[in-house]
Amino acid sequence: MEAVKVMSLKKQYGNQVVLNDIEFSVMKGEIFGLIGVNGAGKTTTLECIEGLRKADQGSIAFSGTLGVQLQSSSLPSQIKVKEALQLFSVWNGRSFRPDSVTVFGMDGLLERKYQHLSIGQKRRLHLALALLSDPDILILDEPTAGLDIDGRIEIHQIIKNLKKQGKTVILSSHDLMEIEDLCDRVAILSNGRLVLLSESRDFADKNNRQVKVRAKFSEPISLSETEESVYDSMSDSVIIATDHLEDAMITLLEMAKQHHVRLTDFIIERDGVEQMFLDIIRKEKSS
Amino acid sequence: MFKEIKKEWLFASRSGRLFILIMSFLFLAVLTPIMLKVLIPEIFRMQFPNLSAEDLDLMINASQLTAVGGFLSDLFELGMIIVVFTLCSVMSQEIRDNTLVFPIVSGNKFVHIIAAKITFFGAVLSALTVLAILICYGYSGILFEFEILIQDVLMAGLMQSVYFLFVIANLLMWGAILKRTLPTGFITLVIAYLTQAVGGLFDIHAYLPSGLIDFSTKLQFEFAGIASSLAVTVGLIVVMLIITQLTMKKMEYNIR
Repeated sequence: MEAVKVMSLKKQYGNQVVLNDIEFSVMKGEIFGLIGVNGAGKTTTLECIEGLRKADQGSIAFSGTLGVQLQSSSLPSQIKVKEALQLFSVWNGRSFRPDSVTVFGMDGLLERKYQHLSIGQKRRLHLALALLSDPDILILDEPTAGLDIDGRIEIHQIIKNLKKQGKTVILSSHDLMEIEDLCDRVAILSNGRLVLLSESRDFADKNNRQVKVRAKFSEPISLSETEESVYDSMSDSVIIATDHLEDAMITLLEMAKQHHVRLTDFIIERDGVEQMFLDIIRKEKSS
Repeated sequence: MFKEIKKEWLFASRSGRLFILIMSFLFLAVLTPIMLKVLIPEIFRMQFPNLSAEDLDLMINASQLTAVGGFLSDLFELGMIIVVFTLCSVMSQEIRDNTLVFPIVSGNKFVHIIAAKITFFGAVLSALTVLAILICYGYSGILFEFEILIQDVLMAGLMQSVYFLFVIANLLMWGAILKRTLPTGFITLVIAYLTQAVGGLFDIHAYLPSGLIDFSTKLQFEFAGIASSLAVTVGLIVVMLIITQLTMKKMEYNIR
């Protein structure tokens, strides 16, 4: 069941097209990642879903209530953490319990003013505020930006727990490890266009990703380069890119036989989400 | 809407705006009678040492009427500057600092956000105006003698309060349109002083919000003389609030 459906979303400022025909659906209970370089349109897409910006064309439908944690949202500097939490609880028709924010590490900061919080503490507070209404759909715009490792792990755990509770999470991030770790599906945006929409967790499945086999022979060989295999003269090795490891090994053995040399060493390299992302962005730029 | 009013109370008290307004109004309330009773006679005595006490009284014409009238004039001239520059950020800064993002994504309606601001600050300024004018009335009555009817004083305070609503509506509208604090304050001040000047120059106070100020400083309640000005002011407030709401609806938030 779809929690969010974005259809033919277009947005431009003057002549600059910020979003061009963006279309994707987010299923209920999944963690959906939006990736892209700065200015790709991630935050604008999220802001259109949240209703903070109006799309020029297209439509957005969602079922359930929204909770939002944005990069640049803010609170008045003099307000205390406890006051902010109490105020937002009232807005959401709930009573505030200090123990409810223990998970965000906020319990020791309740009397601290907003202006005296670190970036990480502000992010955790924003996330706590977004979750006060117990929303069905949570939109997180770079939730771990500026956080230390402990902070990231804590936030990741919170997001994983939200998934366990059946919440839908839409997440934008520059941190591709984070995306790989958390997301069920991803969409890659480039120059306001959707250039990849994964249909499953395949993007993070290392077994289904292309591998590179880097092999060394007892003597250098002369190789007629193809799309699959290249000779790297710097390291005196042959590199084969393949979807099937077995085929690559057979090819290498045949090469050794053909050139009367021995296969002395080989390394298997698997692409990460980062490589996939870079490949897509490079292709996009060259086209 | 009470939830939004609570937010305004919290933000205003934490930012020190309430404190500035309270202190300014109270200062103006006690300053005018003291000026008339103590400071101005003293200055005159120093400047004109040969002047008799009777001549001095005639020159200064100190009374409860001049004290309360003077306070109301000060409230328009000085108080207006304090009010405008204390509250000019009420809308514009919230938009620029993205502090409206949380209320909006929490589902608060624009009409409620605007209504909460004008209700809260309107109530604060009305309460302070009436309180200050009563303090001025009581204190000047003690210093001189009671000569004005309390209902005229209260009515003057009420009209000043309506005028302050007009000022707040200006601050909200220009704040939403310009999204900048100081220009919002300056435009509001120009409008306030210009309408006062134009109203006096062409004798059209009755058709301008400035008529409320003109009326209140006379300290004589006469509904017929104020009805058209009151209607125009209320009409303008409604129009400005509608423009504010439409501007906010069209606006894009979360400035990066």
